[in-house]
Formats: sequence, structure tokens, C-alpha cells
Amino acid sequence: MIARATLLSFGLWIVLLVFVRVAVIPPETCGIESEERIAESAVAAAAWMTRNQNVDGTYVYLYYNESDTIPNAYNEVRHAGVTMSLYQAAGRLSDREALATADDALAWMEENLVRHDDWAALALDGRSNRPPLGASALMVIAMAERRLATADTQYDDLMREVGRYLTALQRDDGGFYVSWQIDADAPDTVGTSRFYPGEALWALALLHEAFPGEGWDVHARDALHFITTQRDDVEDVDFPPLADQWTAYGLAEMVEWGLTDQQIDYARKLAGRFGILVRTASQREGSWYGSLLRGEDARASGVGTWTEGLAGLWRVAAYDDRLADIKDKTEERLHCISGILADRQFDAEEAADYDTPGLVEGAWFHEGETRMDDQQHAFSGITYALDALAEHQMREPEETLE
Amino acid sequence: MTEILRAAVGVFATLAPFGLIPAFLAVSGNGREDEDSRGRTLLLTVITALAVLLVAVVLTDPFLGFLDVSGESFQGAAAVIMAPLAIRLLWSGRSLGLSEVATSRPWLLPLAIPGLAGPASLGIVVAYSGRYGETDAAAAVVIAIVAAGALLYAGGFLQRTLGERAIGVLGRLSGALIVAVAIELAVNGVRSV
Repeated sequence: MIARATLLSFGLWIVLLVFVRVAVIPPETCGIESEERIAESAVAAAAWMTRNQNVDGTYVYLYYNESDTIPNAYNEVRHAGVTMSLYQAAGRLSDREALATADDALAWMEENLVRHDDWAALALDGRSNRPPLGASALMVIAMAERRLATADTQYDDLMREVGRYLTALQRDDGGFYVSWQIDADAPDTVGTSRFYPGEALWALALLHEAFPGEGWDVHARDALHFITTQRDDVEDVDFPPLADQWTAYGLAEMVEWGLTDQQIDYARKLAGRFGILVRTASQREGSWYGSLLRGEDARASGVGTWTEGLAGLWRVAAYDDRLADIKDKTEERLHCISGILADRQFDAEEAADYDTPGLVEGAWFHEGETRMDDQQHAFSGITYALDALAEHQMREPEETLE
Repeated sequence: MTEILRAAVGVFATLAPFGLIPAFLAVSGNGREDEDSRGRTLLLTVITALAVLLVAVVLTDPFLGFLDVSGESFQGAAAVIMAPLAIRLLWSGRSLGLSEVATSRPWLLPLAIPGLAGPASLGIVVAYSGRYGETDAAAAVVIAIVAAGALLYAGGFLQRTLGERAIGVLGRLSGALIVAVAIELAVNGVRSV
């Protein structure tokens, strides 16, 4: 005999468990499992970026597949970012077409440099009086990736020259002004950016890797100290740490230099931040009510940055024993999120239904729109996720392109 | 070892032995003359609950796989599942009402299940098994069950010495401890990779 009260209690528990299943833990689904197919997705993304370059070295910035239109807009920060990814494709996939395309894009950046004092900075025509820090940081990273992919040193002086713009903007606390106001010959002390410090951090770390002994590491360490102790407060981040993949790249570059316990702790929290974003994305995929409760899909540029961030932190975990406990979980999440990305990408068959298949195949669309950095971040994320899954700890390619 | 102890505290909280003492004594008696029957009831209760919780530890991976849920996400679910027990303890100081023990085998239903091995303790055991690994979670379950069993055995003495009111207060404190454990679990679920 079971008391009525006990039966009632069981009934209420069942109701609660059903609620928990639906509202708290919808199933997590990770798209494509095959690493081979995920790798094909990266190749297709690189092909999109290579195929959709304009004759002047810029890329197709935005494209709407339903109306088959390319709006007139551009952004030099994203131009440098896409070029960086193409150099990664050159190094990782031995993709000579990607190298040639990126070189044309680099030539465009050289034409759009602003020179002042002893530095050079990348800026579009309309912004040449206030070159944004992020564009120059990503240009340095692109050139560093080219150097890693080809072992060619022809851009070394330019790397240093643009690098000096980053150090000119660095404040005493390790943070950065967002631009130099050339007509006033003074930094912009009002503007702030959430992501520029991370971009500058990674660029400075790569400058030290390329040119050890020149003092770039001091700037990188100051930048990392600022980011891990103050940036999230300064930028009023609601749920710190900021999901900033650039900082993850920087940490991955600097882990061999030795990180403090506080920086390792920050890396752990950052991995957790990316981890929950991935889990939430996979819950959105898993069921119709998952998407209802978790909101709309993020665009590929966002999902790609989580993948890049986790891949960078995987390198930290693989190198530093203090994070060894998160390495396997990080690999699980990387496999999951790169599978989701690969699954969402438009393939040749789907692209054939549109007016200009070459602008659709290999791209990710969000509400009918793709932006060039969707392909950039998804490509870089998948590429380094596959490195992690293959236990490939070093970021540079095993062989350089001649 | 620290992780095992931390997990044991969490499991012990969800077993909430102080909240179970009134129901246990209602079944087995609280006088010195009832010690034999109390010992027998306790042994059956504790062994059954231990078996159920250890099975939960072993089945964690297939269970989470069946649900298609990562251990990290499940921690949030476990925290929610613990809420009703915490509310009941905070409200009444008891995890089982005296009317619930009128069954033919009270050591099984409701003392072992759901008294000790209920949704809250099962939830935390699955969550800890995913977080700390099966061996550590199993060790934590054994430590927590032994401690809970000892408290239940001493229940008659405690009630005579401290009085029913004090036992009720300790039961309410158990509810507060469950809230703390649930919050830690949810936060860890959010912060984990």
C-alpha cells in the first residue's frame, strides 16, 4: 500500500521533471559529426572568400541571397580580418589561391595606410583622420599569418611600422586608446572598444613571436594584464568575462611565455563563457522548443568567434597543466560547434537554387544576409577546432608555402 | 580527497536527514526499547537508498546520453530539481510528512525512496558523477549515506535531548544548505566549459 500523499508527491515530481526537461535541459544536438565533412566546410568557406574578391583587392562585404543584391558598404577592420583568415588558409590548407587573394587584399591595405610620426595605420578614406586601432591590429596579425605560412620576410618592416601604431595608442594601464586624431596630434581619449584591446594584444604577441628581443612582449604583457583585470569593468560587460576570441588567441600565443595564476583563472572563466554559448546553441538545434526557449540562431560570425575562442583556449589547456582538466570538455564543445557550423553552411546543391550560386556556396546566411566575416570567423574557428581534435598543438603550419 | 568531501557535503545536504528524523521515528519508534527495530529499519532504508544512488552513479553517462544533455547543463537541472525539497524543508523542517509513512514497507517507501534517494539526491548524484567522475561520486555517496544513517540512528536520542523544536530548526537549516548547494551547482553549470 502506498499512501495517497506519496502518490501525489510522485505526480508532482513528474510534472516538475517534465518542466525541467523542456525549459532547463532541452536536448543538445551537434550537427555534422564527421571531421572530414567539417574540414570540407572550411575549404568551402575559404573558397567563398577567394572567389568573391573585387578587382581592387576588397571583398564582397554584404550579400542578400533573396534579392541577389550587394549593398554598397565596407569596413577596413573586417577587410583585415578576412585577409588574416585567407593567410591561415594558405598556411593550413596549402591554398595558393588564398595566398594570392590575400596578397591582393594586403596591397589594398598598403594603399590605405596613413603615415604619421614613426607609425603607419590602416584607415578607409573617410576615417583617415582617426585610424581605428582594430584595423591596424588585424593587419599586423594578417601579415604575421603570412609570415608563418610562407616564411617570407618582405613585410617585416611594415609589420613593425604598423605595430608602432598599436604601442603609440597603448595607455600606461596597458589598455588602448581607440584611435589617434591626426589633426589634433593626440589620441582619442573618449572612445572605447570592447574588442580592440584583444586584437591589439594578439598582434603584439605575434610581433614578439616574429621579432623576439625587440620589446613587443612588454606591451603584450601589459595589454593582457589590462584585459584580465580591468577591461570587463571599463567596458561595463554585463556577464563577464567578455566572450572575446582575440584575447583567447593572445592567451594561446603567450601561454609558452608563462601566464600568472590570475590569467589562467581568467582563461578558465573565458572557456566557461564560450562553453555555455556552445551548449545553448546546441540546445537550440536539438528540438523545436529548444529554439523557442533559447531564441534565434546567432549568425555565423558570432558562432565562429566562439569556436575560435575555444580553440585558442584549447591550446592554453593543452600546454598548461593548470587547465588540463578542461581540455577534453573543450574538445567536445569544439567538435559540437564546428559540426553545427558545417551543418548550417550552404552547399553547392542549395546554392544552385539562387541567382548567383558563387555568392551562396560556402557561405552562412542569417535572415537572408551574409557578411564577409561570417565566412572569416567560421573558417578560422573550424580550422583551429580541427587542429584541436587532431591534437595539433602548434598553431603554425607544419610546412611553409614556397 | 577535497573534491570527494565537497561532493559528500552536497549529497548529504540533499539526503536531509534532520528533515527525515520525525518520519523515521514515527516508523521505528523513538524510545530506548525500540533500538532493535530502529536498527533493522535503518539498515534496510540505508542499504536500499545506497543501492539506488550507486546505480544512479553508474548509469550517469548512459542517462545523460539518453537525454542528449551534457553533464554541465544537467547541473542547472539538478539545481531546479532540488528546489521543492528545499522549500518543503524551509517551510516545515521535514522532508516527509507523517501521513506519508503509513505504508506496508515504510523502510522502502517512503523512507529509502524518496526519503533518502529522492529526486533531489538522485539529481545531485548524477550531476556530481558527471562533474567529479564516477569513483569520486560513489565515494561521496557512501560517506554521505553513512553520515545520514548515523544521524537517523541517533534521531531518538537527539529528539529526546534537543526536543522536537530543535530538530525542526535543524531541518529548516538543511533546507537552507540545499539552497546553497543548488546555487553552487547552477553557477558551476553556467561557468563550466
